[in-house]
Amino acid sequence: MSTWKPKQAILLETPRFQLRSMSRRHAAKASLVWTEDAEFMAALELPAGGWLLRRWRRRLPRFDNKQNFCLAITRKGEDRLLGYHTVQLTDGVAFIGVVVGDKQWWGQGVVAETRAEVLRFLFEDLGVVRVWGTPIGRNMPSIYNYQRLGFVYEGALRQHRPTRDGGRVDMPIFALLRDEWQARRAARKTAP
Amino acid sequence: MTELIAARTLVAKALELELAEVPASGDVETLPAWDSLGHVKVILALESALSRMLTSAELAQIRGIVDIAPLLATDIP
Repeated sequence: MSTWKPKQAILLETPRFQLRSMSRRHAAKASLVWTEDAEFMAALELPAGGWLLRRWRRRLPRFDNKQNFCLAITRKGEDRLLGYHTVQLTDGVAFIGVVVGDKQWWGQGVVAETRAEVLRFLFEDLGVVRVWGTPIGRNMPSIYNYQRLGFVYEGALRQHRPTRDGGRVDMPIFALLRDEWQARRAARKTAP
Repeated sequence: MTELIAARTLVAKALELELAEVPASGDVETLPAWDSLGHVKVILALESALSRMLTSAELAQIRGIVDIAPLLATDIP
């Protein structure tokens, strides 16, 4: 088990990246520039451009490092924000999300590598029993990243979210249980 | 069997691989070229082959050749 205690800052590492606790204010300020990017905002079904810091910040919960976490993704040895993971804990269940705003890193396996460590932290250190997330409708890279790490498709929240063009979009539900995560890890260790 | 070969062929073309590099068991975890951007290419190629957009449920359940084959089966005479 980890020595981490609630309200302490979190620091996790992967081969290429570092994940570090970040405040809502910092997350909003550092990511505001991404709101100008139409491609990035399209993935969130939000309009690009014209976002004020206060309005952008309000879209994020307060991160208390107890039940709500925001983990900045940076390359090891660098400070530039590439993206961030969010985690909301309730009764042993973690609801997760992630954005990668630095487009140079799209398609470079950032989410798969860093989410694997977030999952290890949640299941192993925090004892979470279920991790789930809901990509937005046709966000294919986001869906891929759940599938890549063995999340199970459980159904969809139908017409759950408004789209930029005034329509509604389904949000598929993907979840991974601690038993499933442990089984996958054991299988990888015994694979030739 | 025919639809499995069709699915392998579709994925091989989308990911710019040789057919022999795409086994019937190939999926997002076993084919290195099937990364997040590769996944977009596979889905768009599949939608082009089917001449329709996939439903959100279909999109959420495509993770390998075996998931694509049944969709193509309805398209093979």
